[in-house]
Amino acid sequence: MSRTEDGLSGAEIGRTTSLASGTLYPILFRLEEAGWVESRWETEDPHELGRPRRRFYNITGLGAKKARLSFREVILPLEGLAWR
Amino acid sequence: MALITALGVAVLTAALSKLLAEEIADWSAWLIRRLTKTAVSRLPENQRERYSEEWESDLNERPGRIMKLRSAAGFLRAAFRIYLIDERNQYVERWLQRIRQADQSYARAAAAVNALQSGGLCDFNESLRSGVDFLQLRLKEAEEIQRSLESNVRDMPGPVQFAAMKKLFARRIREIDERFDRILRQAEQIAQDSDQMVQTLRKRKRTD
Repeated sequence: MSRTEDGLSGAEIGRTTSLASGTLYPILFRLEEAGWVESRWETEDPHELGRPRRRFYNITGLGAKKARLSFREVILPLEGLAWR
Repeated sequence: MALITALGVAVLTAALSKLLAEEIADWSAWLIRRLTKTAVSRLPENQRERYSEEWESDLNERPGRIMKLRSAAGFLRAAFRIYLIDERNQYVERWLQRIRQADQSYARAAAAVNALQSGGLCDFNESLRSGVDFLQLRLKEAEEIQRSLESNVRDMPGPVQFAAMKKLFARRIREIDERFDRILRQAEQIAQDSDQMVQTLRKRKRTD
């Protein structure tokens, strides 16, 4: 998930990651509880938009740091592998 | 005659297909609403309002009825897992809160022990030195037990495993709960004892 100004809605993250809603929302819930991700409602009035408000998710500073560490943990052992 | 019959069958098939398509569309819309509503009702109470709105907007973003239906079915699974995560988090939070409370009591006791040692209060009465030593020993022991409980909380299994564990080992969970209660009472007792010891010694030093 990239860091954008508005963030991404659950459906957008689902499309990007190819995760089904049953898997995606519990993950987002856990990440939010852990403070790795934060979410907020769309500021526009749903009546004016003519559709329900979206909730946007954004990665936090802590989340970005932890993600980098986790990524390194996964990538470093793989760097030594030779694919033949 | 055959042509008229074939034409009649074609018209009837077309009409029936249209009717069937409309029926399926109506049913799928009803099913999507029903699934979402059921999923929301299975969430922890404090999350229902938020997810009701969020999932409605999620469905709105999905193209086609099949995608919407798939997403709505997923909400049921999501609600079940969120419920389990929330339940586990509540246990963890309750135990961590007790650890924090015990920490405060230990800090109070440690401050008292410090005052007894560095403030010269111990020198005042040699026999009270053993009391301070005993207090320090209790504090160390209690802190060690607390650290081990703290690592238990940190290493707690994930939500699904925890839910299974909760059912299978309800007695064990109760024991952990009771152990935390005991630790908390013990920590508070140590803190009170040390406060009292400092006060008594200060009073006696003043009167002498």
